[in-house]
Amino acid sequence: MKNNKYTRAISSVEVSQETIEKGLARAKNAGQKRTGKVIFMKKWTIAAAAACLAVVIGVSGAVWTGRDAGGTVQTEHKFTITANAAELKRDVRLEVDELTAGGGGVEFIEEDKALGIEQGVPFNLRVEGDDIESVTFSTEQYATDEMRMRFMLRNDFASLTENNGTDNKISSHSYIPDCIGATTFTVPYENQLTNEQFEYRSENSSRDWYVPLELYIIMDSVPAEDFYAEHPDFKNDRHPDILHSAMIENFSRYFNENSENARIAVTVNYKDGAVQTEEIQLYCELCDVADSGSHWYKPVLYASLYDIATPDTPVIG
Amino acid sequence: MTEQNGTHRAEEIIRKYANLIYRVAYQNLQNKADADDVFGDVCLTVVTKDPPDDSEEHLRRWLITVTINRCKNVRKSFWKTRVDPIDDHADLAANETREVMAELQRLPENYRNVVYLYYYEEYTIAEIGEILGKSPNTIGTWLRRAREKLKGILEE
Repeated sequence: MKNNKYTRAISSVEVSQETIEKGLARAKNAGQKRTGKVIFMKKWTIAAAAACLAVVIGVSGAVWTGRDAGGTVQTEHKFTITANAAELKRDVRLEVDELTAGGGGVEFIEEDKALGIEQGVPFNLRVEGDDIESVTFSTEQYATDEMRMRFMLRNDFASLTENNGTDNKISSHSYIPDCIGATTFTVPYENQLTNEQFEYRSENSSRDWYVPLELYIIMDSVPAEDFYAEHPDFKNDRHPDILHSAMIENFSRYFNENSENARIAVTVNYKDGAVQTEEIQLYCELCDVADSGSHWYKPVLYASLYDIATPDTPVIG
Repeated sequence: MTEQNGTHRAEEIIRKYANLIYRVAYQNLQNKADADDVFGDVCLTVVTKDPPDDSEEHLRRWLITVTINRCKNVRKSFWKTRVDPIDDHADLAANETREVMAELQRLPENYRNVVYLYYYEEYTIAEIGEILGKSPNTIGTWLRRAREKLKGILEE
């Protein structure tokens, strides 16, 4: 080998043992699943879809009184929830942000027969109220094989929190350096302010990025042709372009088919020991959008308060 | 080949060629996080596809090609097309290495691959053409232009 600055520099670049072990673990995991089945994952991008995706929030309570996990009404405490700094109010559709920060991927469950998709959604939740010690956000209890959601957090923010995820539930983010995913995290009330720093800022980037709540959705038995402009040929490492319109429609349809799992539990832990939990239900609609005389459909994500009270418990609101 | 044997062979390949895969990824993407991601992707590919087993050289070229293709995917990704990396090679210990990487960063990706394959892996121009699917003339041109830009770091 030639001996120059270049070759010396390249020689000094070495993969860490940790990266090797992670890669091997991923490979072994894929090997185990091969018969039942993840065989390939292709990152996809939503550049074409980004402009027409929007996140809209609506809730069924303006300022509501929370209930504890057993449905008991806690009248002495109140809190509100904001999404991307906007307060959730009863029956008000609140457009929070365009879905421009997210990305996703297509995962083939069986070669060219079925696939899964993942979708990142900017979704910055925050609780406001008095005498609150900490807040726990969780999607963990709703996760199924068909659909699971996780929060993407900055590493330094996450270090302030308690992450209850396991190996499969916390992982480094593919696209955003220094972020991890967590299905449950607890943050001190005051530190929710750092929620506002859930942005990924590049020195040279023209804009900031919200770190999204990532919705990971697996779809079974969906023909690849529904998503690709032409049939993929993986053996020759050929990955045709994604059909974004098909992706959007299928995303919306499948999201709603699994909407029971699209929930976020927001648990407020008060300084006096009281605990209140509310659940946010997410659902998606395709909306007809007119633009310069043309129409297209866009999936709009809604959130609403999910009533966890038993049938005999009066709904507060 | 049984599933177990396949996974075992994949592990052997990954361990043996870990630095090769990683260096190709790093000099392409110029930051550790993306190189780590690509490394993971290539590990997955080694398991899910059947790497060539007729010769070490064929396997080596296959790994290089797969890694370069994965790097292309990353560069085309939504994030990469809109967000510039802030990684200034802080993970690299030596000043000289950081300087070289900074120089490489100014090169088009194709040039970086040619320089790597020629100077580090010591492939011939014809062989590089086969690996990258380009004519030897094209490779020769890229190499000449890269040399002009990297004169200071390619001199022995």
